[in-house]
Amino acid sequence: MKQDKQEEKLIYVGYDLTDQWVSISYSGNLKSNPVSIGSVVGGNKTSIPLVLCKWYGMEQWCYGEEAKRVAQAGDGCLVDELLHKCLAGQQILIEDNVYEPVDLLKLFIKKTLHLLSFHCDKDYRYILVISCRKLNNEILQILKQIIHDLQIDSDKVYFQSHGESFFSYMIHQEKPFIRQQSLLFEINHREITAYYLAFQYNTRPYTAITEEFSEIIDTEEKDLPFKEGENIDDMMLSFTKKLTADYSAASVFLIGEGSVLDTLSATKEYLCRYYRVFQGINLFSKGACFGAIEKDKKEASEYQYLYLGKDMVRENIGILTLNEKEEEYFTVINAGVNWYDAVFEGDFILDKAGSIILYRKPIYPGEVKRHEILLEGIPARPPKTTRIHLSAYFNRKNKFILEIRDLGFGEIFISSGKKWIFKMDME
Amino acid sequence: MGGILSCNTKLAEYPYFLGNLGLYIYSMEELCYLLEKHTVLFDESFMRVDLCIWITTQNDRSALGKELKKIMDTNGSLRDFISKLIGSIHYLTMAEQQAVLKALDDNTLLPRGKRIKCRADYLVERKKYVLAVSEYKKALRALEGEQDPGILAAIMHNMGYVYAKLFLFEKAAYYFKKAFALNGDDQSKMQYLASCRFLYQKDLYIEKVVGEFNDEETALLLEEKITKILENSEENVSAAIKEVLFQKEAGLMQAYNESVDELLNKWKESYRISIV
Repeated sequence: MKQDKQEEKLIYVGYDLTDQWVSISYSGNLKSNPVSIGSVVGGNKTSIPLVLCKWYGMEQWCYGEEAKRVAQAGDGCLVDELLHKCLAGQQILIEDNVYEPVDLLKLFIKKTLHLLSFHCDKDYRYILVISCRKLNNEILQILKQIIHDLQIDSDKVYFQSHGESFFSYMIHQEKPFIRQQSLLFEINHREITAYYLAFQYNTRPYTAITEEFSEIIDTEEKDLPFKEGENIDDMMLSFTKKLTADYSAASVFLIGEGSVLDTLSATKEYLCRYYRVFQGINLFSKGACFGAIEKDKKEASEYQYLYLGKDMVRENIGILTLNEKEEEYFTVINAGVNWYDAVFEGDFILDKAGSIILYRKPIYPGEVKRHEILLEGIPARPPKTTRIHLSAYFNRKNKFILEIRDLGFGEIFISSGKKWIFKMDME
Repeated sequence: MGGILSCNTKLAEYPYFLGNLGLYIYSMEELCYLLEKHTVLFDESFMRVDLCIWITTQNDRSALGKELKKIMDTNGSLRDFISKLIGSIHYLTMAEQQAVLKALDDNTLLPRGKRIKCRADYLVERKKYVLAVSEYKKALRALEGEQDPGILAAIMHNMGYVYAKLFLFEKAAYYFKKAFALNGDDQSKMQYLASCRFLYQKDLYIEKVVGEFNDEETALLLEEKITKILENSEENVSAAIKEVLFQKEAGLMQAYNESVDELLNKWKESYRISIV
């Protein structure tokens, strides 16, 4: 659908990235449901296989279903499992040329994001949320590097896990869905991952948590608790029964490729007896799209929900500042954001202090912790003539870093160039 | 233990040159600091369109820039201009802001020439000698007809000092002599003699001393001072120069050449700052 030219040319994009496929959904605003797009305009398929194919004898690449066809016809070399290869740092050799997997993943992302241009006005801007099953430092570094190399405005790119995308999706469904627990099973040829989403209404804002479980299917890689000869449907049924015995839910979502979901007849029969069952492939990309809308404050929904995922920062971090000689608390990092999104950059002016006092306040009532950071070696200057720059971020989950730099005071007091680094383990 | 203030303006990518102070500023906080500490140095010439543009474009404070421009367009006073500025940037406390406005009010009672002299004195402190000379000349023009010889003598003496710092001893001597003529201060006389000492050959210098002042005592005092300085020159030589000399004596020619270049560049830069 083409956007009305009268509307603002800002769109919200959810990009779900798994090791097997990519799913893209976009929306113009909160009122319209996200629309999923495929690699063929007007086609029905909305998942794009995460594969590239290099045409033999040419430096030309195609992707997705076309890549599979070209490789099958013997006209090119298929490259799959790109995400896995990026994490393993596994170079790819094709026709005596060595390719870095990150460069190929970048090419794939560039080509697939370009699909948006077939659906939107030519000068569109977007807020992008990339959703992955797991977000760790390694994946984030790869994706942030790709975002930087593609010159996408990094202020408009966010990341969230599948658990959080599930949450974002659910809070934009009709109210009966939100009030009840839900189960989601994500199935591929290698593993089944289940997410249990539960809402809590005894806090303000309301909170939601997900628990995650997984079972490995690929018999070549792991010893399984399942009997030899069992197929995916048997494994899935057993796994489902185990979980549903311990976790009550009103709805169950089955996410995976059609070819896999079609084999789950026994599982679906069992589930349909007791639950409302939904299946598809693009729930996470739609959830990421809703997440993009939530990130844009102008369009944020009325729902006051806080997702307490395992990547969430659970403490407010702040410092005391002076306002007309009265002390007031200045929040540097807000609780309730993912650690990889928790970034702060800002300038302050020292009054007479040769130190900074940092406070940690947990989300729920608990002890407030205090840390004093001494700025050793800071030049002696009159009050309010030292400007410092603070950079706060997490380089890993629960590993908080605060960098402080002396900026001096223009030409009046030249900067010493000194820098202090404070690290805090928040486990 | 004190506290810290959050900055609600950003550092400018391109600084603003405060011509009266011979200083580049990079933030609104620096401007507020200068307004508080050196209120006497600011006059109507501070209200400029380019300052409003700089505040708008370099500090992301377009609303403030527009309001200040409006004050200028409606012939608002310097007091209104500065009051709006310091009130919008939460750097000075209310009490400090009130003190700035009071100092501005007191300044209006100060003769213009004296205000300009204060500005020139500040430039001397900042080693902006060429700018200081220009301001001292403005101060003299503003004080034409001034009856108090003290203020005129002070300006002349300071001009002599500045010219001496610029190694322009002829002009330095001229102004020290004029200062002495007004105030009869031995300090001005001593500085005049010192300027002549550097300017003239020895015979001509003695002729001038004898011919003009008939004051051997002051001349001898000056000679004693110079002799003492030269005797102690080894102690007075800076560590950097000592290092250079050591490198030469030790035969470390590459290090010596690099150190000489570094020292010369430092002195050149320092001189450049003084003539900006």
